[in-house]
Amino acid sequence: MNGPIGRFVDRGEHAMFTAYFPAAVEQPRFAVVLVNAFASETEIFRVHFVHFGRALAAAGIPALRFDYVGYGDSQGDFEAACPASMEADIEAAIEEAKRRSGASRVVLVGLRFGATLAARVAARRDDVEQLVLWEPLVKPWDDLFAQLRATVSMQTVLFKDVKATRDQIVENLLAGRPTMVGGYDLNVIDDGYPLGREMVEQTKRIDLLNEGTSRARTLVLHVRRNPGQPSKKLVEYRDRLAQQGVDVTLDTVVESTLPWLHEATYSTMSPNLYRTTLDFLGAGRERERNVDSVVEAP
Amino acid sequence: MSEEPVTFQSGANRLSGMLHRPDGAPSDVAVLFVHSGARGRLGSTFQYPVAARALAKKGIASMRWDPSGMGDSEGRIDDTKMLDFFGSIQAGCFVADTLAAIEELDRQVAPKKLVLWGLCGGGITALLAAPRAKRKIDGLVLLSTPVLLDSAQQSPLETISAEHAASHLWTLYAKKLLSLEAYKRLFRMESDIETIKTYATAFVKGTAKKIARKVKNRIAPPPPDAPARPLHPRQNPHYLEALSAMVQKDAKLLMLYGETDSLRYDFWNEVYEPLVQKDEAYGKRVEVHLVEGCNHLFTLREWQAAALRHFDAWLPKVATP
Repeated sequence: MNGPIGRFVDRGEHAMFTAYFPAAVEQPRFAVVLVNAFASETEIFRVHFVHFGRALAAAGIPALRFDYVGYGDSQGDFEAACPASMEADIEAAIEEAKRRSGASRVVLVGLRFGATLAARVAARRDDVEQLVLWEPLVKPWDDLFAQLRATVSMQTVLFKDVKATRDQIVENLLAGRPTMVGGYDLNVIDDGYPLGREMVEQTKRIDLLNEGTSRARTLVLHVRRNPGQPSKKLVEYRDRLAQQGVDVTLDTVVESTLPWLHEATYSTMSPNLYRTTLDFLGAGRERERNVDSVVEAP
Repeated sequence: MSEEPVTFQSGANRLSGMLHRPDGAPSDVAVLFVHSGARGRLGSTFQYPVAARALAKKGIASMRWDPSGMGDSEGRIDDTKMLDFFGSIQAGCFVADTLAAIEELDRQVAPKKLVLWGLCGGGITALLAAPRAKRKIDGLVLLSTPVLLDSAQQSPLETISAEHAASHLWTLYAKKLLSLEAYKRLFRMESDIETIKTYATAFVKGTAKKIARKVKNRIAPPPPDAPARPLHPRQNPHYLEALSAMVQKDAKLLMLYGETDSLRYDFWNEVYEPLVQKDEAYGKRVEVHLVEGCNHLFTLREWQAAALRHFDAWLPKVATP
């Protein structure tokens, strides 16, 4: 097993952290860029991407993960991160993956909000060979607004009352003012990540059903705890891509834990997501030979 | 200030970390951030990078790192119940990695004085590792550190103290006592009956036990050499041994708990009242603060800033020769 090679990439005012998983091949056909999700999901899923990066490298596919500017090990402030800046980070990560691997094309593998952003980036580039979207958020504002519930619950503990509703917080954010209550700025999400105006403004406008699409072969994966059908939204999204002439597959993957739901089980790997994705990337034989040893080693 | 990815060996695994160096000559004191519970080198809401940068601005070098199987570090952690995972941390599963990280920070920075900083599981790991380090550990900053052992075999009733149950019920339901709508929801079975029942039972059982103990002591006073009260059934012997060892080594400890963190009651009952308050050796070396409004993971920037303010005020105790 190899640890990734960490390096900062210059992103103007701030440096962006990248971790590269080299593969033992001279001229790879493509490199995989792993695009993480939003806020706490990125902390929780970081190790899942690391294990997948190792699995890809073992299958002869170089991979790179990165932290958006303002996230994790990257410099900058979380509240300044927004879809535009995060998409620019994805583009910088693509260039870094190509430079380090020598590949001329990339595959983007994104999780949830990261999948949404990856799809948008892929739509405006011609070097994305394939696109793998793990549980993409078709209209991410719906999820972000739902996550603001945590900020409301926090108030019942802090003040025994709700002093600022979700709508008031959003209104303040859009007006560029803090939501000050009892010395705290409640313009936060997901238990304490500070939100910025651009994040709200731009996320509200994103709807994958009404945007340009990439022509890249695409795999959309719905992840559930038990076998079942993909969600309505994802079926709609698949149909929309198919109408645009995209070679798209929508599939359901069962994992025993869904880390982004903060479950009672500590998990560091998503083996079925890895296997389905590797098969899609044509690494099935390599997977059998190498990858299962990474995923399943005792 | 500079930030530099580092890797180092711990047993069979190569661990990954981030070294923060200040501009100019660093202070005599360096800080090693020990993993933040299950969140490795980042911490909830990325508080470890935020804190490391704040320290670098004050001239203090620091290192954050992922233990085996977390983040970018090698190794694997199999799927496990969260409480069992915490239990393994509380028994010291990341101590060897921490000792390797201490040696790496020594190699990189060679500070005269070293402080370990850990939150939740990282706090207990830091405390357990400190007495075993080859070099002197001068100070420990322990946030929300559990003093009891966790296991998925325990029922919720065993893990909720009477004090926390009372505080939780009061916080969430006091206002609803006068709300007609709340009673309607209760009768329609729309309230979270299971939670109310669990916390109410924990409160009643815990309080009854305390009263019974007091009555028993009054009727038949224990002999003078008997312990003041029985050990908690989930007592972590490793915690008490390590704390005693660090007090004997004259290390300085800063312990911070969030006001709304249920773990603070365990700390108060098992460590603060019997040791810090009653034993001068502990009282002189252990500084304790409750951070107003703060939760278990110090998730808001305001609480993280409060922790740094306490650290600034406490640091001279460590830095003074």
